[in-house]
Amino acid sequence: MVLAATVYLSLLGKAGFKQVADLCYQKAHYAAEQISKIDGYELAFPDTPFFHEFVVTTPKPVGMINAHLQEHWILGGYDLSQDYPEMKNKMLIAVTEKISKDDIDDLVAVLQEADHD
Amino acid sequence: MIEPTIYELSQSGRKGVTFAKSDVPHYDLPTELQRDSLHLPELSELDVTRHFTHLSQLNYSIDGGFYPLGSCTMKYNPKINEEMARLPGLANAHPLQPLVTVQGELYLMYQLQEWLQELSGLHSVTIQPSAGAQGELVGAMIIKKYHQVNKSPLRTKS
Repeated sequence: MVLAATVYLSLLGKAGFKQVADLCYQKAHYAAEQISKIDGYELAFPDTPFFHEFVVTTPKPVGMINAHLQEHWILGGYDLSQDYPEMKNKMLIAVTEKISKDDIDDLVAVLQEADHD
Repeated sequence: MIEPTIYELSQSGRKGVTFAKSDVPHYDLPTELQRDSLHLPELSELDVTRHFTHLSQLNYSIDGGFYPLGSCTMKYNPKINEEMARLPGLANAHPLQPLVTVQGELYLMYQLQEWLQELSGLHSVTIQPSAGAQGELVGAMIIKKYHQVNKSPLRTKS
């Protein structure tokens, strides 16, 4: 695994590494913006900067939301209440350069649909 | 033949991959959180391919010959195992996925455990230890526990 990481970093180099980081940042911020526009969803920490992971407060328990997402072949974010019992209805979402705008738009559409159940 | 280090092969401006442009609107990165230097080399894909291929040719490996190292003796595994391990459903699994979505992986591990038990005739099997030394530690811990539970009279050192 260390060898794979070394080869990966060698291929990316200075410029590539910066590009990948930028793509993660841009896509994550687009996802955060679009999700927080959905009724019942909001960013849990709106005033602090983030790189490519952010927490959203969900209108229903994360487990229920993820069950709905799974029906649409989407693996949802991480349920933080599993590690922090006081963080109920908090979903941790990570976005990387491998996620497309279409993927994000699809997620938003399915979340919006879940809200109407 | 000595292979130069990757930094000695680095040439300013070279890169090994190209990414597609961002397909989402632009968001500014806070300038105070940006770094101004990054210590990574700059090479083309060809440079990287040749460098690591040269390094691999300097190595002794299981594909070349036998090497017994004690608990870490390298075993020859059929090449088909490489393909199976790389099946997307296995290789792309995320460690935090819900259990209901990794039943295939769990089944494989359970089946392997059952086969090892049947082959060895031992009471139980665990495949949780990662490697030789960790397996030996587990073995030593089992032996210790056995003596504790059985209150072995000849064991006076705890």
